[in-house]
Amino acid sequence: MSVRLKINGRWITAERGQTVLEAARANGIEIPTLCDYPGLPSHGSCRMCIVEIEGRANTPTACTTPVDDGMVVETDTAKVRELRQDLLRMLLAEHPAACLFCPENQACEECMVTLRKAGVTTGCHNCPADRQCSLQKIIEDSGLQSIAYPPRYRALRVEKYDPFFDRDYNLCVLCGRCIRVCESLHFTNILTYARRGSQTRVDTSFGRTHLEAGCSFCGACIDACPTGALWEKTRKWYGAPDGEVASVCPFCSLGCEIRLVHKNGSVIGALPGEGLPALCVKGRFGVPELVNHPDRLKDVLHVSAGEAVKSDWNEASRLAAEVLSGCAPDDFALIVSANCSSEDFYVANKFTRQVMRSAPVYLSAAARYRGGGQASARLLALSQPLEALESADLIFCLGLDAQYYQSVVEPRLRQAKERGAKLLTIHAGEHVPGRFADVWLQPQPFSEGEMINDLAEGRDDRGQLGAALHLLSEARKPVLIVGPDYLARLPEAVERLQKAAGAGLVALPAEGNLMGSLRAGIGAAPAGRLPRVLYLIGAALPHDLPGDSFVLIQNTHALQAELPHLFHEGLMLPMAAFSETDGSLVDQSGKMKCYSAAAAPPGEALPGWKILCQIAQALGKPGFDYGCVDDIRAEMAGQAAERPEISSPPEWIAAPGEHDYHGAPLDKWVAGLGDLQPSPQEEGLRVPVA
Amino acid sequence: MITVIGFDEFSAAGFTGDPGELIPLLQYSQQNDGFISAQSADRIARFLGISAARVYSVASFYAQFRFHKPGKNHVRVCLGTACHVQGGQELSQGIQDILGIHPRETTADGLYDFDEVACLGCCAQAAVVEVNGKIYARMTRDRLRSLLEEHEPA
Amino acid sequence: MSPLEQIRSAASERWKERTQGSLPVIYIGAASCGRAAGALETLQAVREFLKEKRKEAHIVEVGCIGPCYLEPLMDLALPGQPRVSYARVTPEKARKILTACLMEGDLLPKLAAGHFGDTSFSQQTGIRRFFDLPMLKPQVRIILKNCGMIDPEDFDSALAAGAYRGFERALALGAKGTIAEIKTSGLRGRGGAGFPSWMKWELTAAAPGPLKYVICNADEGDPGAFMNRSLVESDPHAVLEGILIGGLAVGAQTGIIYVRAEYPLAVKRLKKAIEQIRSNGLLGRNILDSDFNFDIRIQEGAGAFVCGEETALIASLEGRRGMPRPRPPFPSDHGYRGKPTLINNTETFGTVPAVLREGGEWFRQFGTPTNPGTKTFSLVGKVRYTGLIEVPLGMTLRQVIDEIGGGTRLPFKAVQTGGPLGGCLSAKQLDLPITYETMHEAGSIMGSGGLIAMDESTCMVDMARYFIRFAQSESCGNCTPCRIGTRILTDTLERITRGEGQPEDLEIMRRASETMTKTSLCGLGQAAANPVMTSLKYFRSEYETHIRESFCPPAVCTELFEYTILPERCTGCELCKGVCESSAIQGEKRNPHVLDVTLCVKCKACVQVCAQRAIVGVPVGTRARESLTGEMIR
Repeated sequence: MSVRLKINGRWITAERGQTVLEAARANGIEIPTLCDYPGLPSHGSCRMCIVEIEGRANTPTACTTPVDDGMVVETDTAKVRELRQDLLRMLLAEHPAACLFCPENQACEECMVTLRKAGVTTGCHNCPADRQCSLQKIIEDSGLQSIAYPPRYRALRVEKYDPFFDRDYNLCVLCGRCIRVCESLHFTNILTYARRGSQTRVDTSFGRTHLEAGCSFCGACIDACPTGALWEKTRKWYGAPDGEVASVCPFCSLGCEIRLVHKNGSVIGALPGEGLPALCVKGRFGVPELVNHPDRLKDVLHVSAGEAVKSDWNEASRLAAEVLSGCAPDDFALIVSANCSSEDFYVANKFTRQVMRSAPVYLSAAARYRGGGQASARLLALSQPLEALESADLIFCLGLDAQYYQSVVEPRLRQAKERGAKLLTIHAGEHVPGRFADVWLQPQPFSEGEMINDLAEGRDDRGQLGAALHLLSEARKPVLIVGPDYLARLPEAVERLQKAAGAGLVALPAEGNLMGSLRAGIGAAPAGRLPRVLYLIGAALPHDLPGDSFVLIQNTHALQAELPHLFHEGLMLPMAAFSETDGSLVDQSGKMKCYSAAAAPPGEALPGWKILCQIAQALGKPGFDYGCVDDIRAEMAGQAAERPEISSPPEWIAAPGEHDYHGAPLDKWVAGLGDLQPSPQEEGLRVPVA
Repeated sequence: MITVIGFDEFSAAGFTGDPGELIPLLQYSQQNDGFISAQSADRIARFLGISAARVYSVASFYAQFRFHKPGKNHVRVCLGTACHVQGGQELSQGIQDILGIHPRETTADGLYDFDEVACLGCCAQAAVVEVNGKIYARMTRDRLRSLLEEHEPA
Repeated sequence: MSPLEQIRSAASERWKERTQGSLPVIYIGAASCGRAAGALETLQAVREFLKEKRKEAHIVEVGCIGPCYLEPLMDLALPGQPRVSYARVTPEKARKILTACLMEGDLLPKLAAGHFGDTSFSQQTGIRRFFDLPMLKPQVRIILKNCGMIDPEDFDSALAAGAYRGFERALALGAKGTIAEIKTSGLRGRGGAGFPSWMKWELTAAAPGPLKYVICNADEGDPGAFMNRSLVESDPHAVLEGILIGGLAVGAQTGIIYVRAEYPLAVKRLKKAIEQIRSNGLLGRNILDSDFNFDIRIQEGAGAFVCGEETALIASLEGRRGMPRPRPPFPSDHGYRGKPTLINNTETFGTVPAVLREGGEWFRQFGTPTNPGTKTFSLVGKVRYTGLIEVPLGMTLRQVIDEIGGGTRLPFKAVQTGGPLGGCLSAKQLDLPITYETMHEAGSIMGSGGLIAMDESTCMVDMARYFIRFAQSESCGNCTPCRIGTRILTDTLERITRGEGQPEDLEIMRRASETMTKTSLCGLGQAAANPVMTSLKYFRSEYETHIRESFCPPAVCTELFEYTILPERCTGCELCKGVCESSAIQGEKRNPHVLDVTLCVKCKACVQVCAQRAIVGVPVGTRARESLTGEMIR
């Protein structure tokens, strides 16, 4: 039902149930707000959106006043402007104002004399939110020229003890957006209001660190903060970014859409894609630290007699061609990481078949999967997208951590639970679904498979198992959601349970493009002896390499500083990271997702497929003259998808760490270094310290 | 919640686990322990199926809840309007001088904790001081020392 | 005869047996205020006396009758005689009275404060009627009718006094008829806002849905007010009856009493009263054979003034922070657990039974046409007679303070109405009649009924600071103007009371107050600046003295005065010397004493003991200036 109301002398139509603010915005009438945030219900705490409404004594807030037929609203009268300014003056009594009213505001950068007149984190243009701050903008728009109330600095200690982001509540205006967004995403919110009155603060329970409090570091609170109170450590002093590029997070198979934020030609951050409420810790904070890491491989290196010498692409291609042309097919193997792009997979496949005529491409990840991933691949073939949870009446989480890993699942579990769906979880240790599940089955570590088998066969109907069985038997639309560990380690048991329960399945492998590699026909190959010439794309170096091996290492990062000493002869070829090239991957539900370059690759680095092409061309092979990924995609489109032969991989393939990206360990993150410790009982299941 | 175990005590006290019971549960915990510890807050959170943050948030909102271990004797001075007019502030200052602590603190020997309260509802007897639940009417500063000494162990 | 009537007549018999039988009856006023004054010690002395002397007597613990300044009160009724009341009864005094009355038949008329019989007894004994005491005579007791008269823990005494007659009438009238009766009475919400009660009732009754709640707000958060505590402690059944009538009228199934945890005796008596009516068929299913099902439970508040605001109270009941939310939706549509909810103040519920019992028209005879009925106030501060009073609305502040309160000892200065969110009114406003509208027009509010009288020893700047500091710590902290505005006002006032005030501070306070009033979400934020605004309006010169002369004339703001002993007043009694812990006072007996300002810590102990009022505050440095000038002259 619609109503008519008059705002600033203009009659507009609105829907009953809308607020005055919504109606005004829908009609292009701007009313300033601070505590309002997309996706959250009206809060009415900042009072910035006060308006005059005929017949109302005071000035109500537009965000909390429902529209009414015949309502007459004025949003910009002298009275409203004055009150709004006074509210801002009040906020500035508790918020540093040096960025606004300093007499040397404009000249500051030239003179630099006043650089330190305000605390580094609190004042001047050294506020991390400078030019990105909602409060700053509202005050500038309001025309306020000076502070009026005696300021009081809260003198709170800047909280720097957690990884990834700093909290300076001296800059907080208590709009509550961080708190409310935390509450809206997580079952157990970490941030909350503490105390009351002028002592009100944003805090954690008993002032614990976020780590202690169980925060998953999804970063949604930072995105919600209108001021500089919450800010990422890595981009704290970059100022406003130059732009954003839509991309896809390659850190797990979910392939969340992200926006890469760049400045001065570098990626400085990653934000959730449009419409996504949050990312997980790796996607949100890991990208800039990974792609800007000092260990990035930037130069083409020729390793000769254990010594790495700087080389160039021409020389390297020539040398590679020389070695490969004299190499028998069974003396060569190409091993790829499951995090490479689909285009890289395609070109690698073509390289082994047409150039080397050798064994198919090996997948390093296969070493992590039981039986090389045969049962896992069967499960992956059934895998549905996360949207499958929306219609489930029972969700069974199997080995799903959802805290530091794939935490984007939590809001969906929460929505399902609020909708009335039952939630079961099986996990040996503390984990997020365990905080709110109807039943948490807690097996002894490494006996999870037995318990899942018991469930599948309906054995033992007492206690927790009985409760779980009961819920399973009553569910009409159960869905299993399988975390990376169980998918790799217990695929047969999960498969049995899935069949017994007749359940839908959402599989969440750890690798960013495992599905892409399977589609490209890349699995493990039959065991054989360790060949003399190895081409490793993002894959780890096998142990006990014979002295006469020749190794081509194509990677984004130099794996270890001492790496050249592990082999005597070879090449190190710098590869562009996902943020520096175009590419695509296939997510856990089989959906192709494309990303584009947001920055130039460092040094000499080139996209993975391009390096392969250069070598092929140096060998004089035709069909490797792609100009861009679109050329590859066009060629791929003409070919039927392949099903890889899966068998146990040869034992000389080194299993990658669970969270490796192109072979580079993620524990080298600057801000998180050493802070996210795995809990003792679930060694290896947590992020990201190897 | 089926997994919840070890909450027999709460259940025996008549609590059902409804989040609406948060404040009564906090009161119950404080009555037992004398204050709200982080552990008891976590336990309440799990019992009610809510976040520890919410428990803390609510507990820190209300004046009744303490987060420190109380002393043996509880001294509270009323700062209601009537008591203020009759010199409640001086009483508070006097107690602080004698005990050497600030409001919401406990003396080092653990004998006394001290707090200021909004109003004890005995305004006609202002100014009042409460020691261990007993209200002392028409207090003056010169009677404070003897009042406190009454409660010291012999 | 109805089942309740049968119970009632038996109860009346038992109560009569207890109070009008062949044994003497000793009444002790043992509500919290009486206990604070030592009622329990007196009670103990009475018990010991009876045991020792092997005398038999009924002891009845009654609630608070009102004049708290007389506490502890002990009444005695010899068989066949009316109750005679004795004031300020210490254990020793109790023994003396009991010895005289019980052993010798002497009522000690000189010690008696009053009796509860008719005038002939006055002629006979020379004791005046208790209700003819100057404090009580102008009062009209409707809500407090039973307070101090019945035993709040004895259901018989409540029934004998007519409890639940109003509810029976409501049952007979039905929901619509009950609301109509409330409408006729013109009763307005006693929590402070004065919203017509019938409207709330009707809205809640009309709200759709089978599940509804009634909430009684007994979270009396106003510092300096104790009407609700006294009523609940002295006559819990009046409140329960009101809640039952409310539940019946709006169609609710559950009543919740939200009571302050700081009121343990009130909680105990409510719990007991609820058990009593439950076991007598007044709670549960098919109450009194009607189809009305209802139950009442208690939840203790945890100490937050803002929970007096209805949406904050509901949040608190639901286990959340007591933060008010925007209205609409109003609780009558969307209240506790999202269901239609009737929330009224304790006093409103306490008034309802009388309205139903006696009729709305009867109620209207008291008060004014727009402010019908009576209202209780806690009259405290610097008046002679402090306590709980009940007067018809429309009575002037002067009558209340001068007649009922007996005036102030030092010259009157101000009266704070409406609690911490009200205003400080000056002597010029004393002739205002007390109504919701006049209080509002004067910049104050009716509030729940705190009346704090202040005399010349009160500093208005200090009072404003006190109130705003209270508002600052009780603000929920959610909205900007209230959270920061109260902080700005507190800081500014604290600076002024420290002598660091600037002339522009007055403008800063005015502007902050206005923004708070106009932009805050809830009543607390909108009214929090009232004490500051009214004291600025009515006592501006006092602020100016603080700022311009760095002097606090009432000698309250510690840094803005120093003490001196006026030699012309000092009699050299040495009392002050005895209490001074800093040895700042010197002097020989019967000679004027001298106070050394360099040693004085301004603890006020000496001022409190000086009967001559010889110790006064003067501007800082006065002594030094005087001695300097003296020396120069010499």
